[in-house]
Amino acid sequence: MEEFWQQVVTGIATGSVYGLLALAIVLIYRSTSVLNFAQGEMAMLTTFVAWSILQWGEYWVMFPLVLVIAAGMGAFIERVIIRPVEGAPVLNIIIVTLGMFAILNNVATWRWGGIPKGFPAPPEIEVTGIRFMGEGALDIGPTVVSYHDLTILVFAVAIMVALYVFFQYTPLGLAMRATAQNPVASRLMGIRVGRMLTVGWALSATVGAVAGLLIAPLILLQPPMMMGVLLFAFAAAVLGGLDSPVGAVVGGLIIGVSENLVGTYTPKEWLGPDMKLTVTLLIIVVVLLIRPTGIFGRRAMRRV
Amino acid sequence: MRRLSPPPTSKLVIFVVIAFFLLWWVPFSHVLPEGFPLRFGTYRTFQGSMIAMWAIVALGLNILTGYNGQISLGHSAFVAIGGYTAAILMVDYGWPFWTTIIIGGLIAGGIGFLIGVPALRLTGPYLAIATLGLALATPQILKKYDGLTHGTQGINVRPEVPASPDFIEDWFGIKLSNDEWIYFLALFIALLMLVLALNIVRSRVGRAFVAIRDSEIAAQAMGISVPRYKIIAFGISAFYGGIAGGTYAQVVGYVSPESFNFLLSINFLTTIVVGGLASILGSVLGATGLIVVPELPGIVSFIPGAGLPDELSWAFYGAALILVMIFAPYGLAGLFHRLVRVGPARVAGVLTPVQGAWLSWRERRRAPPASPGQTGAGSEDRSSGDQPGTE
Amino acid sequence: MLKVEDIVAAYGPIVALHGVSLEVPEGSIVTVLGANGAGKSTTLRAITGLLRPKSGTIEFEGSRIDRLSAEEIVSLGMSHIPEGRQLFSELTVLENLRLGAYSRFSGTDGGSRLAQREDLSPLGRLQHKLFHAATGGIRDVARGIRGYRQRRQDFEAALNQVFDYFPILAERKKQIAGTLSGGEQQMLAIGRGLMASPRLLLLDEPSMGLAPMVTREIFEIIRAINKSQGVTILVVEQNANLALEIAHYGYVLETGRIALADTSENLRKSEAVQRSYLGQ
Repeated sequence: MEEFWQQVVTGIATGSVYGLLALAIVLIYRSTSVLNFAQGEMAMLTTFVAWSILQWGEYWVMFPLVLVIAAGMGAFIERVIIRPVEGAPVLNIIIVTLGMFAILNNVATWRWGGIPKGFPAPPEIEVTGIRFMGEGALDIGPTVVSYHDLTILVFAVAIMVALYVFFQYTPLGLAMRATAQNPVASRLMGIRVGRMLTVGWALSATVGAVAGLLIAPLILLQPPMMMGVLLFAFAAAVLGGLDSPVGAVVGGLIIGVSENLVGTYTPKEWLGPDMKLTVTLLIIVVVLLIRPTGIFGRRAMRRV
Repeated sequence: MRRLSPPPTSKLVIFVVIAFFLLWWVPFSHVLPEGFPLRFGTYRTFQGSMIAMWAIVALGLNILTGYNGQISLGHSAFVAIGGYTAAILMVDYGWPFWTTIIIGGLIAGGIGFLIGVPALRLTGPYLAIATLGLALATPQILKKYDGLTHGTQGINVRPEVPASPDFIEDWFGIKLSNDEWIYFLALFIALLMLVLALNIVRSRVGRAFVAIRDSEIAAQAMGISVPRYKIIAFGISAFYGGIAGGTYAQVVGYVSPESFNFLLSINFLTTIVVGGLASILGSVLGATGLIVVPELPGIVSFIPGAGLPDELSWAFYGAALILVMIFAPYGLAGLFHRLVRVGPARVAGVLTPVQGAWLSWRERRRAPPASPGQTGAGSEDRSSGDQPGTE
Repeated sequence: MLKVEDIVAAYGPIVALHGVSLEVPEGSIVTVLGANGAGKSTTLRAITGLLRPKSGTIEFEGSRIDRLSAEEIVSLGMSHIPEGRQLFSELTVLENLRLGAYSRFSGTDGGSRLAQREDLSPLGRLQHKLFHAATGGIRDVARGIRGYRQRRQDFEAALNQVFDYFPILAERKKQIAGTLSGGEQQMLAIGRGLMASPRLLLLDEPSMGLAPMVTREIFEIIRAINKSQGVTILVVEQNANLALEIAHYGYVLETGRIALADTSENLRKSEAVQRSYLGQ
């Protein structure tokens, strides 16, 4: 039983990271119907930038700085690379994001090299005697949780709450939701649709950057580090429903946990840890066959 | 806009040039003295074989995605099935190579049919990611069940790959090297599959595919059984993947789990979009481009001052993808058709093709914006004027 | 108030308007009649910049607007209630209304752009654009803080006014717009347009898909909006009977050209109109 809880808790932590990156994917998908294959590489690049900043600065100086840089990068990419293909068929835009994938990955390898680097977890903070983050682990009854796993969880929850408030209660958030639904009507409301898309990419890149910063301490910093995470994030986004932010996070958690449980509890001879990816994917496909647009996804409307 | 087809004589000239290039230059120009302009080394002959193999997959995937509108990111799995079937039958059972290619194709096609059934429930990105799952699982499955697949070490097919058969020597009086023979073999298979694909897309079945892509409801109203044809498209497409896999085993002489990872699938999709969706010509051009372009920085670097650092070749490739999508939204085939159609005037210095493409792109962007919530396979917009090859 | 002169507009190679001119005097209701495909909606789309005219000029309150973007034009004080209503059907009624007031809050300053953009060289335009991209965000935030309370009050006032015209919307505030009935959706569309407190209201076929009773009700409200608030209205209709009843002036559009223009009384008497549009 202890092992079970251990696996669940670790699964929730990694699942939160999948969920965050899935959230980043959903933010872009909702407004442009584009699966951004470069999402993981964008996060990887900002994590490398963070590493460079950490060479001379404090973690908590770096953190906001990296978020701003990530937002700038997202906005830049939307303006310069995505804007020229706006309105093109979806597959074309997907290929453009694949092109960005290649460029970002290559540039990172060229600039920082392919050798894996260690990346620090957020340092310890103490608030009114309660310790947050940092090294070590916390004993919580049935199991032991590392502080970093808790950090991931806290960050994920904080970001989700912040995004919820942003989209639900601010004019800008409302305008972005409107743009995603009906760009023409949005223009008639005086909403600058182009600017909303830029903001959407900036926001998405920022959320992705957080995912990168949180996962890097677990999997070492290197150019291909986000590839696996991206695939799980795609799976999470699809599982939850590509237009549902809540679904993205829930999907991430389900995948994180089930991946761990499959690895531990299936027979080693013909399944086991080697096949955890395959089995997890199989589970997702089965869910999709029951709900073709994900758990929380809107039913696709058929247009004649 | 009426297409100005080139006069028959120039068509003949073009045909002869292409035939000469494929049948002599690619396999044999290495016999020319070192330094001869455009001389191809034996490596280029190998690349020619790879392009042929790649074109087969692209043709199949284009039937599924371009003509039928179902996105698949799982085609590396079908290629793996074809490749492994051929390798296992040749190495472990000693079957003749050509039977193994056909059987590989049939097994892949059969599995494609089976996968086509659940795929009916999914559309657009959901289908894309579900099939990506297939591509991801393939190497794992190949590694895990090593009783059949030889596991991580892969299968070396090289000793079983046939040498040039005697009849070639009897008929043409030349002894082909292994590379040359394999090249002709791959080219022959590719041409066969090309003719087959042309026949499929021009048949009733092909027209049903297109009708379903453009509107399932309208297709249904015309009496087309949508599920049936969607499954058929999946099966045919997978069959192509399997044949390509068998060809791959001959060309490369080695199959391993990592030969068929998911990046291969993504490259296949890239091939057909860059080449041109719903276009036979596009499949071939895309396959050529995908093999040749990553090599370009190396080629370009011979020109002094124009070299890119070698370690940025992938970035170069990425930039090429983006530029093609911006300036040739209908892929290389679209660009080609445009050149043929408006060529003379443009070449006369009125406009360069790039300017032309740019102008028409801007024109299209001024057209009324697409209706909201458009989430289809990206093929809805493809029915406009310069869509090639759906005839 | 609005002066359209000789505009030509096209969708790709298909020309939809071959030189349309019309005028909307302040405080009036003007209707544009015509069959399907005559170019009625296109005319409205050209006015609000959804479709950029190929040639011709459009003036709103004395200044040219034909080179501005839709976002800029609507924040000058005109609301366009498009064909088929185009609600944000997955958002609530209240959210739709909030979006109607968006231009108030974002403070897209069409007027100042208007003055600056005329006769700029391409390079000048680029500089201007870059400058605005850089300063726009900061300015918006600054303005947001400064006049927040004022605009909040304006918003509440506009909301109450909309609820006065359409009490049903107040009842259904929290409901998802897509679940409203056709008539309620049209009311919401008009209400959303009114939230920006426009001086000119462009209506595209408010009767579309509605039962005759509901249509009549809506036209009464349109008349009331014009009377009590002095909002100028340009309404495009197929239902010539009703439109001519409330309008002061009318134009008849045929295949992208103005075929007739007169006061609505004269139009109603005109034989051609009676034959083609009034079914008499």
